This record gives sequence, structure tokens and C-alpha cells, in this order.
Amino acid sequence: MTKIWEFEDLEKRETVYKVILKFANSLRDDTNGVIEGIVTETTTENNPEIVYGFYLTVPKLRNYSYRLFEFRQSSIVEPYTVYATLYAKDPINNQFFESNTVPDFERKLLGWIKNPITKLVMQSIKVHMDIMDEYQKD
Amino acid sequence: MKSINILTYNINHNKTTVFFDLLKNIVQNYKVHIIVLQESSGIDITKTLNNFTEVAYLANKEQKWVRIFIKSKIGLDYKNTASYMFNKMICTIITLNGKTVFTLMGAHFYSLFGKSTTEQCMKNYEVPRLIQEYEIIAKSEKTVLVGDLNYRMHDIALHNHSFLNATNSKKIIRHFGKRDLGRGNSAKYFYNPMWNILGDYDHSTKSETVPGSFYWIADDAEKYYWNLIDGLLLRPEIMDNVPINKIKIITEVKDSGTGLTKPLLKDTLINNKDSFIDKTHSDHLPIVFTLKI
Repeated sequence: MTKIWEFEDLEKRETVYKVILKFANSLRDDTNGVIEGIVTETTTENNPEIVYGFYLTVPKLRNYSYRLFEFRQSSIVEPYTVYATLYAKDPINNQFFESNTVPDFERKLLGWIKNPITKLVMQSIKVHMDIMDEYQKD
Repeated sequence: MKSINILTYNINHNKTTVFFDLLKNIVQNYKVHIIVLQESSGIDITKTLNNFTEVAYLANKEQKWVRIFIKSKIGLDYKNTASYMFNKMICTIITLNGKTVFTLMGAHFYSLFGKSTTEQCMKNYEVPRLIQEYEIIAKSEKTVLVGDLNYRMHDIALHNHSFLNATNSKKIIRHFGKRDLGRGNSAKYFYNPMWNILGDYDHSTKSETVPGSFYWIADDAEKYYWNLIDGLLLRPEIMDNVPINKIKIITEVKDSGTGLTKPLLKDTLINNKDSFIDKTHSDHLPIVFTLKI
């Protein structure tokens, strides 16, 4: 007998979060444990929007957490369009993109990870950590 | 149980030696353990607060709009710091002897100055979600939100469930838990203890007192001369840890060297555009409170 009731394709629904999580999880290995990635998921009252916060967390700096990216997913039912923000140290350098498909989202996010702004933030964290190391030696 | 005294002060970019001495005296007078400063970006304050550790976060020195200092060598420390809204809200977890005790959010929200109420709301619209986001990182809702909030407790924005949902009644919070918004939605409360010190009569001293922390000319029907826009909000999980009689707007400071008392307020005005706050220190009054942990 043919089913009348069917589930939505969960693979599609969870993709945004999965892509973000994949990049967050690779941070620890790629930086030899210096920086870790954490992702938060929040919603707003009376709003179907889901917001993912992507943080660079530094265990050696008392788990200092730098909020690098933000992704706004329109709703639980329809993950795309995703609206993304890259937070630079200076607000005027913030960048934005919109994405409507999984491959496009993944490609653009990878572009941001390779972006000079991201590298500069990571470098600033490293410099700060080196200063703290030096200070602690004294 | 330990008592921690927390000071919040918008210092209006004051970097004079006289002011640094005053700040040092406030810290001594009120035995302050944690300081949350607003409008202090770029000011070298390390000599004045040499027995304090500054909560570090990644930002240009000139753009550190909110700064938090924790007294050193008494077991207090911090971890997991994050900054939001271009450093207008700094969140950190406070630890005591290595154990997490509460989440401190130091804030200087966008003001009404030069803006309409709607514009102010648009600027600050992300605040509730960012608080929620940091509470996920902290894995705790023992949140103390402190600073120049730029909202009076009776402002609709502060009371609104879409914003901070701050109520003046612990009983309401205990009874309802969350604010029912209908259709299965609800909003978590903040308790606003500042209602208890609104008005110009101090029940503990049985004398007249100052009814706000910020003064401006009430040249518009919606304006009040005195505004209690600095202060604190507490999540229900920690609302019973702040004794109401320990929340004080500081109006005078005793000099530890000379023993003389310096008022932060003026008795009279030079003209009607003058302020009752002695602006040689700031255009805000400092507020101190005790948190039992």
C-alpha cells in the first residue's frame, strides 16, 4: 500500500547546520588545538528565523570566544535562503552574503575561511596568546 | 556565602588625575570587587586600578566601549569572554576559586540621544538574542546584566517581551515562570530590582535622595529630568542573590587621604541648563550593589 504520510527530507533540512559544524569541527585539528570552533543555535520570539553563531574559541586564553560568523536561516521548514555575516574587528569591514543552495553556501563559506579578514582575526588571537605566554613567563 | 560588590559607572571619557583619584576612592569606600565601566575606551586606567585584572577581549583599544575589571588575588577570575554589538556588550563567566558562580554581562546599549525611540530599538534589537546566545555558551542562566542600559525601568522597551521582558515583581516570576505570549510561545523574564530605588526618598536613611543616575534638561514632553538608566537586571536563577538594600546610587565619596567627603551632586544650578550632577567626574552617577554567591 502506498504511504500517504511522509517525512520531509531531513538531509536537506539539516544541511546548513551540518556544513557549519563541519567547518567548526575542523578548526581544532587545523590549528593544532590552538583554536576550537563552537556553534550556537538561537531563535527569536515570534520569529521562525534560526540564527547560528560561529565562534573561534581559544582554550589557552581562558576560552576567549570571538564571534566570527553569523548565519540566519529563514525558517525551520525552509533552510534557504541563508543570510551570512562575517564579523571583522572593525564593523566597516564586515562582509555579507546570501545563499540559496548547499554547494553555493559551502563554497562561499570556504571563501570566507580563506578571507584575509578571518586570517587577520586568527593572527590577532595568536599574537595575543604569545603576549600572554610571554607575560606569564615573567 | 561570599559577598561581591559590583560597581557600574559611565565615566564619560574622563581621564583626569582628579577623576582617577575619585574612582580609586569609590573602589575603596565601597570595597568594590568588580568594576564595569562604560565610555572608558582608550583610557589607561591600569595604574589607578593596579590591584585589578582587566577582562581581555579582542578589539582595538579605542573601541572597547565597555570594560570589566576584577579584583586580583581574592579568588575571583573570569573565562569564556565574548563581545557583542561592536563591544557594547561584554559577556564573561565569573569564577570563584575555579568554580563558575555567575555570568556577567557588562553593557552600554545605544541611547536615545539624537535618536527616536524607534531608532533606539532598531539599534538594540539584537540584544535579547545575543543574551540567549551567550547563555548557551555559558551553559548557565545565572545572568547579571549590568551597565548603562540607556532604558528607564518604565520604558516600554525594557518591559516588552520581545526585548528584555524585565518585570518589577519576583512574585510574578515565581508564579508564572515565563511570560505567556499565547500560541505556545513564552518569554524568559529578567527581574528589574532598580524599581526599588526609583523616587527621591530613601527608606533606609529616611531622607531625601537622588531619583536617578543621569540628569538632562526635560525640554520635551517625554523627557524626565532625572533618569535611572544605569543599573542591573537579574535572571530569575540569581534574582534572590542581590539584597535590595545593597543597591545604591553613589552621591558622595570620602577621600581616603584627607578624610573629606566630595559630593558628586550640586546643591544649586548656575542656570536652568546646568546639571545637578557635578560633571567634573561624569554626567552619570555610579551605582554599586552586592551579589551574594
